[in-house]
Amino acid sequence: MGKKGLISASVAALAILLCGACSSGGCIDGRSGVPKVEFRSSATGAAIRLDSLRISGVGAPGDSAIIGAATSTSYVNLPLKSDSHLTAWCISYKQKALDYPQLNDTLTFEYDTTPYFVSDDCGVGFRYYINNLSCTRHLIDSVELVEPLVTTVDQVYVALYFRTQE
Amino acid sequence: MALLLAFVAGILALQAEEPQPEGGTAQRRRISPVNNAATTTQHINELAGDTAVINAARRARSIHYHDDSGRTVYVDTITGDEWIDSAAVIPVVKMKYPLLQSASLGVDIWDPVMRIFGQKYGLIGFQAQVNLHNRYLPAFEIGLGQAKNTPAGMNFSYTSPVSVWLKIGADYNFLYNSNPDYMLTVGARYGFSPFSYSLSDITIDQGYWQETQHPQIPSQRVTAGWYEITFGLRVKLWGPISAGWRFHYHGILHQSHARYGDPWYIPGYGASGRPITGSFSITYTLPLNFLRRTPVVEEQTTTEPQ
Repeated sequence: MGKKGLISASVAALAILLCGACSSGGCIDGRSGVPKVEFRSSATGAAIRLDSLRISGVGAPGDSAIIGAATSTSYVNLPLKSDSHLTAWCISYKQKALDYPQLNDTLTFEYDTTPYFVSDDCGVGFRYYINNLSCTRHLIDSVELVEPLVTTVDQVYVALYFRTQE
Repeated sequence: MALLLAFVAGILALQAEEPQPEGGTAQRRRISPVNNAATTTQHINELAGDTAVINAARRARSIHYHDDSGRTVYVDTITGDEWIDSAAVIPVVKMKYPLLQSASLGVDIWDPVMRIFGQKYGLIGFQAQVNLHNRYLPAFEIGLGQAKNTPAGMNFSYTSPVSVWLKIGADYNFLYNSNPDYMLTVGARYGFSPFSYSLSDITIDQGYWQETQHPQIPSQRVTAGWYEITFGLRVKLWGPISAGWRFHYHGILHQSHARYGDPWYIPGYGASGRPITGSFSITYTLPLNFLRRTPVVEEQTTTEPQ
């Protein structure tokens, strides 16, 4: 290889170096962990889609709902409070025959909060370790803790079993 | 003394006497002549199949030239056939440079230069390398790394104090029989660094609950080890000074995981999540001729008698 060839290769190498120094893609997984709660049938154990549900946080500003009655979905993401070890969610049923406050259910999370550096693209968020789950049993049959460590990974962390018509 | 001499003479006389055959007179041995018609052509017939003799005869009536591989190709001037003398062995120099060819010391200025262009991490590195036969180049690298970054639009400040990093490995020079001033190399390294990092100025907004938190992440002490595959060029600038470019493909081999997340920057490795980095070195090369043994010629002095 002569000098010209080496110089050409040097320029190419420098270009590769500059390209390699470029930053990676943006934040994909999000910053803080949010538990994904899946709705399942207590009879079959399979995931089901529910509508006419209204889920709101107990003590949320303005009693705002995380999902409204018009939404039909098989899961819901329920963000946890980072300045507390306990977060409660109220589940109310807006079907005509079930729209009574005494039939509302409450799902309560007890957890530990840890700040966590996700990446330079995503920044710092929170991770939660769920120590305990509890719920009332009006239309909810049971609750299952699928994965206690809540991170930014998109997966089911809690399964909520509803009493459904077979 | 006279008796002794007579005794020895008698023994010698007995040895010279040929044994007499039983019942007959002594016969003289007949010796066949060496040179005859058969022996005259004997050596020619025995060597008729010898390849060296045959090729010698063919060379005598051929011209020759050298091909691209350095082999001598003969051309029979009568038949026009081209042939290669298999009996002629052309010695190929495997490595023309001595074992201890040179040693070099280099400084990697890639990180300081990139900091001028906005890079938020890195300090400097140094490399020592030995040149064996101009082909094998074991290397040792040491350097310092540091990071401080508050990314725009992000919710944290990342700080990693000055920490040392080490690398050990070797390069292979493809141009080992060419001018040592120019090298094209491929190599491998193992790198290691113990370091610490911390995050501050953290702001986390909880959209649904409308709350803002300012947690603190204390200093985390971790270690990391990685591999590198390197491709490099080195060209002579002036005298013993040369410049070298290398780009590295690397990956983490082992890393301790802290409670509050993995580090963004690893000294000597660079920012995590970037498989390709580079280096640019200015190198001083020291020839090692003085280490090679030279024959000592003793001066012969003569002194004239007074």
